Amino acid sequence: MTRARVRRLVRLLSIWLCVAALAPIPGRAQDRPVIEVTPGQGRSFRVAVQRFASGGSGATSKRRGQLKAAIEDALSFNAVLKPLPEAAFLGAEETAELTDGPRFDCADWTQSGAAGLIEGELALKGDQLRVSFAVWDAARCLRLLEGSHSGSPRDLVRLGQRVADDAVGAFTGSRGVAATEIAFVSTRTGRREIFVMSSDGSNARPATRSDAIKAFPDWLPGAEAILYTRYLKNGVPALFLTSRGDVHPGQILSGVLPGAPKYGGVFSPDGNDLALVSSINGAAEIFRVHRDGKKLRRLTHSRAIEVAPSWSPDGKQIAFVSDRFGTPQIFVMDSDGENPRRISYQSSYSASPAWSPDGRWIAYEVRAETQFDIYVVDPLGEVTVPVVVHRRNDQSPSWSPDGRKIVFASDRRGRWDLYVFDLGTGTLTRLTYAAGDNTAPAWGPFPP
Amino acid sequence: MGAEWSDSWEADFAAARRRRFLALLSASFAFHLLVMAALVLVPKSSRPALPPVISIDLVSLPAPPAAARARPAPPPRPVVPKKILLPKKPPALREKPRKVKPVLRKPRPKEMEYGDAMAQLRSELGETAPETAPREVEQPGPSASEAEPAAAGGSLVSKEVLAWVIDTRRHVRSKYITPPEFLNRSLETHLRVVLAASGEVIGVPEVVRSSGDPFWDDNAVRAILSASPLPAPPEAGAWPFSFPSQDRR
Repeated sequence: MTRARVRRLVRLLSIWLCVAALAPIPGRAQDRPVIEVTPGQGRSFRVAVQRFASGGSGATSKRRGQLKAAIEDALSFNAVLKPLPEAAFLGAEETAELTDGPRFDCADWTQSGAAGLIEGELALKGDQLRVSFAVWDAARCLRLLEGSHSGSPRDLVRLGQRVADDAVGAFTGSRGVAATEIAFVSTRTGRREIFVMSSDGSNARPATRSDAIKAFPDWLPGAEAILYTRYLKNGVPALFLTSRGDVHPGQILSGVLPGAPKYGGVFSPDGNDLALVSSINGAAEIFRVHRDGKKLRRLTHSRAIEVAPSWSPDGKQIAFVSDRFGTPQIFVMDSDGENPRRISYQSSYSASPAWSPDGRWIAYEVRAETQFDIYVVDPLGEVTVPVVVHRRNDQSPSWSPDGRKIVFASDRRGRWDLYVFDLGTGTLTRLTYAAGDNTAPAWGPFPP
Repeated sequence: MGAEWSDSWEADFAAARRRRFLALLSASFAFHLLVMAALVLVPKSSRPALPPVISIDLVSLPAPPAAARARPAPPPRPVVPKKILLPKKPPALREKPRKVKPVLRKPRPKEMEYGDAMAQLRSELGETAPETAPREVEQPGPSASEAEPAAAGGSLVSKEVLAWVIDTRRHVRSKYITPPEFLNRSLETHLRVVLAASGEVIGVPEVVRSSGDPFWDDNAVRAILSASPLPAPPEAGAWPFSFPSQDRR
C-alpha cells in the first residue's frame, strides 16, 4: 500500500468519525432539560395484602383471616406501608398459588392504587405453622422478596408481624419493628417488676417475679435475655439477668467490685462487654468490663456523678451523664474513657442519653422550665432538635432498632405510661393502659 | 437468684385471669337479674314524652392552611402544643372599593431561560425561591448549577416544553411516595425515561446515575412507572429526570 493511499484512508476515516459524532442519536436526552422531581407529600406506600392460600387442613379460614389482619395491623404500626382496603382490590383477594413464575395481574394492582402486593401460603407442618410469602413491586411487576417464617399456632400474630416487617424492608432497605419487643419497669402487680410487651403494646407479661425492686432493663443483643438492676436485701444494687434462651439467669459480675453497688448496666453492641455504674468513695463512676468479669476498667475519673452509659452502635463511643460542670449534662467519650466532651447545652438538667441505631443522633431528656421533654442531639453537639415537647414530663427515651420511632415514659395522663413517637409521621401512640406506673422502656433488638 | 423468664408463664396467668373473668361475669349476671326484677316489680311512673329530635347544622370551619414545608432540618418534627394566635386588630367591617386598573400584560417571549422557567414553575407549585444570588450577580463555582443542573449553560426551552415540564413535574409528584427516612439524607438519582408520543413510559426507566442507595433508585423508577402515562411530551423519545431526596432550594 502506497503512502498516498494510506493518507487518503486516514482522511476518509477522520471524516467518517466527525460525521458520526455530529449525527443526531435518536432519543438523546442530553440536550433536553432535566426534569427535577422533588419529594411529594406521600410518605407511605399502599400495599395489598391477600388472604394467604391454604397449604393443608391446619390452615383454617379463621387462621388465614387472623394472619391477614395481623399483617395489616403490623403494616399500620410501622407506618411505612399502608394496607389497601379490600374493597379497592381489582386483583384476587386470595393467593391462588405461590409460584416462582411471572405474574399477569400487576396492572390490576397498580390500578387499585397499590404500590405493592403481599401474597403467601399458610400451612401446618406437625405442630408448627409455616408462613411462606412473597412481596411484589406492582409498578415494576417485580418480586422484591420471598421468604418464610415458622412458629407455634400461638405465634400466629407474631408470624404476621414478621411478614409485615420484612415487606417494609423490601421497600425501604430497613426492616420494620412490629415483631420487636419492649422491656420496661411496671408497678402493675404492686411490685416493681421487669415486664416485656410487643412493640405495639400488646401481650405484656412479666419477665421477673420477686419482691425485690428492679430497674434499668437492657436487652442482650440477641434478644434472648434482659439485663437489669435489682436491689439486694442489704439495699445494695446488683446486676441480674432474666432469660428465655440459653443464657443462664441470675446475678452476674458478683465477683467484680465486691460489695460495691453496681447498676445501670448496658451491653456493648457485640454483647462482649458491659458498661456499668459503681460508686467509688461515694461518687458514681462508669466502668467497662468483659461479660465474664475480666478486664475491668474505670472509664470516668472525677469527683462528679457519672451515670447512664449508652453505647454508640459501632461500640467505639459511650454517651453518659455527668455533673462535672455543676449540673447533669450529656457527655460523649471513647469507649476506653478517652476524649470526654460535653454535647448538651440546652438546659440546666439533661439526662438519659440513648444512641440512635444509625449513630447519627443521641436522644435524651431535657428539663425545660417545669417539665422534661425529649430532644435529640448529634454526637458532636452541633445540632439539637426538640422531638417531644409537652407541658407534662416525657422521660427515658429509647430508640426502635430501625431508628424510626422513640419510646418514652410520660406522666401526661397523670400516671406514668409508655408512648411511642414516630419520627416520620409525627404520630404519638400510647402503649400501656394497665394500672400502675410504667417507666424505663428499653426497645429490644430485631428478632433473630 | 433471678427468675427464669419464660413465655410459658403466660399459661398460669391466663388461667388466673380466666377464673377472675368468670367470677366477674357471674356477679354481673346476678346484678343485672336483680335490676330487671326490680324494674318488673316496681310500678312505672308516668314520664313526660321526650321532645322531638332537633337537628342542628354546625357551621364547618374552613380547613387550616397546609403546613409550611420544613427545611431539611435533621430529624423529626417536634410535637408542640398548637397556639392560637389572635389578630392584633379586628378586621375592618367594610372593605374600601378597589379601583380596578387595566392590566397591561407584556407579551411573553416565546422562549425563556430554563432557570426563569423553573422559578416560575416553583412559584406555581408554591415552593420557595432558590437561595441563590440574583442572576445578575456572577456567582463563582457551583451555586447556579447546583441549584439548577439543567440551567448550567443557560439553555433555552420553548414555552411548549416549559408547560410540559410543569405538568409532568406536578403529575409525577402527585404519585411520588417518599418514605421519611430518605428525606434526611442527601441522595439523587438520575433516570433516562423513554416516552411515547402519548406520554406512555416505554420499558423500565434506566438509572443513568445512581444515588448509591438502590432503594432510593428503585423509588425513583417506581415513581415514574406509577405516574405513567405522563402528559404527552413535545417530542417522543428519551427525557432526563432527576430525583433528589431533599429540596435543595
